[in-house]
Amino acid sequence: MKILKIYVLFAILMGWVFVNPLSVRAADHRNLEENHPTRIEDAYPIAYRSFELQSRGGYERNGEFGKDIGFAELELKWGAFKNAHLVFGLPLQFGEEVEPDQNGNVILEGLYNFNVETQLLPAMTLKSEISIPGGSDSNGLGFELMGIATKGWGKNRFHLNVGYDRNSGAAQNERTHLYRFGVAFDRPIDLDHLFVSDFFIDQSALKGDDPIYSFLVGIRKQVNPWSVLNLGVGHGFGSREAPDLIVSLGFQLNF
Amino acid sequence: MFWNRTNVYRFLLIGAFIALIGTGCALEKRDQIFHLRGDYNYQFYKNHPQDYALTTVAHWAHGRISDILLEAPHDVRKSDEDFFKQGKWFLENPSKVEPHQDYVAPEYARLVWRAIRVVDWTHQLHEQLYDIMADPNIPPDQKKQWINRSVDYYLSEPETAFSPAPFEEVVMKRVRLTHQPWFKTFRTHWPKTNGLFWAFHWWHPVIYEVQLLNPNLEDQKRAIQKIDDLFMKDVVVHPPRRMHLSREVMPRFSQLSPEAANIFDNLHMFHGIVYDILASPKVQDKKKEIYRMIDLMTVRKGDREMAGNFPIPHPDLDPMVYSSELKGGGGEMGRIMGHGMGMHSPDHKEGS
Repeated sequence: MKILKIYVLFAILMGWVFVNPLSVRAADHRNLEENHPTRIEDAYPIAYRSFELQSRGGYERNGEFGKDIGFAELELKWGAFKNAHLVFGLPLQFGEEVEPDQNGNVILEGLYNFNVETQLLPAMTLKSEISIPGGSDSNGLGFELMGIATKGWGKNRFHLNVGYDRNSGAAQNERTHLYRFGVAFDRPIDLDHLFVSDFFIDQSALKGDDPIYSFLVGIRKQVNPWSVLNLGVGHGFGSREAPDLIVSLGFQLNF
Repeated sequence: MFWNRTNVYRFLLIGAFIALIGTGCALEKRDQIFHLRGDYNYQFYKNHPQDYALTTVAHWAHGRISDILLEAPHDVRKSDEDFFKQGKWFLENPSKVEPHQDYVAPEYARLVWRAIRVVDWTHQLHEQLYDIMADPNIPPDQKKQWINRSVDYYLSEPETAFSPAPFEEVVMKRVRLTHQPWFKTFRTHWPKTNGLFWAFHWWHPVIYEVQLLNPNLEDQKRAIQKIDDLFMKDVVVHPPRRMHLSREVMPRFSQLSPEAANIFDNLHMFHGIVYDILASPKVQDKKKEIYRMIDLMTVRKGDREMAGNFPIPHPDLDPMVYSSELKGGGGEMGRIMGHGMGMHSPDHKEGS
């Protein structure tokens, strides 16, 4: 419940920022952030000295287990250094599979971009994340390391995410070391709208289970200079854990 | 067995990370920096949305043409006319939100990222000053201190800040514009598009002058609306035959902030220089030449002290009038260019 109260506090803060345009500006709908709406993260951090509040809500239907899961996330990003940002995240889950409604893991993340993209080389980035237990499905400290690359040709951009997860609290039937691999594509529709799609292969946490294959397509819209709205829909297959349907709606506020 | 599948994955992953870090550390950084915060942030967008939308067209055009020039179109005349028509269409149907330069000029951004940075950074200064001038809560006698605060912040990033020294010092003495092999390439082969940019370079500074002369917000809104009408009906249709300098079209604002006036002149000239370089077949290594220009045009120690060293040809100019003198090809640019030609001629002597 304490976490829920914190979440409400964040929601009020977010609402204040949203209705107070004088304090915020300069969001960027081409700067792809994980889960907004696709899972891919592009190679670029938010600007040095800026903050970004990100919120999203969504729904997943898991056909194999016949469960509905709702989720909401709040993240605060801080451009603490040039070419780097830090993240504090609070996910929340609710639905049939999650009784009672409760928070997911608390996320602490750092991302550093090594270089800007050139005509030959992609932009390259390293992201590290620690997830502190508290989630409905979690019983151990999680650590993730991810390599990110972004390269464009003309208006089209392609992204690669290669990640490693270590779950120190894995149960006997679960894997401790998990790998994932994602590719994505984005292209401007016009000056205010961006099309984005991705495809991920995640090693299933359950030993002996097939990988989770998933894809999402979505649109990111620059609503005004300080905020971005995004909507995505996707599908998963392979593992028994793969969601049949994913719907995600999010927005980002830069200040 | 050590070489099992999991260990192979681990080694590949570790190897990829080491390669990534090693390669990335040696390359050019992105280095994006957020704008200066102030209560005035966003006043221009809030109070003059129509005018703000026109700035998005100007900045779209400045970015987009760079990618088109990099494509080196075969039929330049047709490309020039097509781009001009597209620009006019955007002026009539502007975006409400300004795209980043690398969004509209992705190939140019991949070639010369630092050029994107200096332009975006200076556009941020543009917006800061528009916001300060549009903020009714900052009284006229306090505008200058807020402008100076923004200029200080801008100049605190010397790698991406244009010099606040006058055009004569930066463009004529350091760049030696008139002696460059690419000089005038763009205006010669892309006259329609070049005219559109020179129209923008009239309109950008004139807005500051109108804001300064109309501190009351309602008066300012009416005056800016008139300027926008004049811009669309006359200036775009009959663009000036020279690039105006700030001192000519915003004489009062140039005296209020000579640093800003010079920075914007140097930015506007930098746009022209880049287009000349991109359009010129004489320049093979575009990146090297553009980066050389940035090194010459960015701020140096002592530049701020010489900021006010320029004449004001028409201190009482009415910014609401687009006169025949402003349409012509002489003005300050003609005076300076004539002087510059002589200054860099082989028989020129220092101090003459």
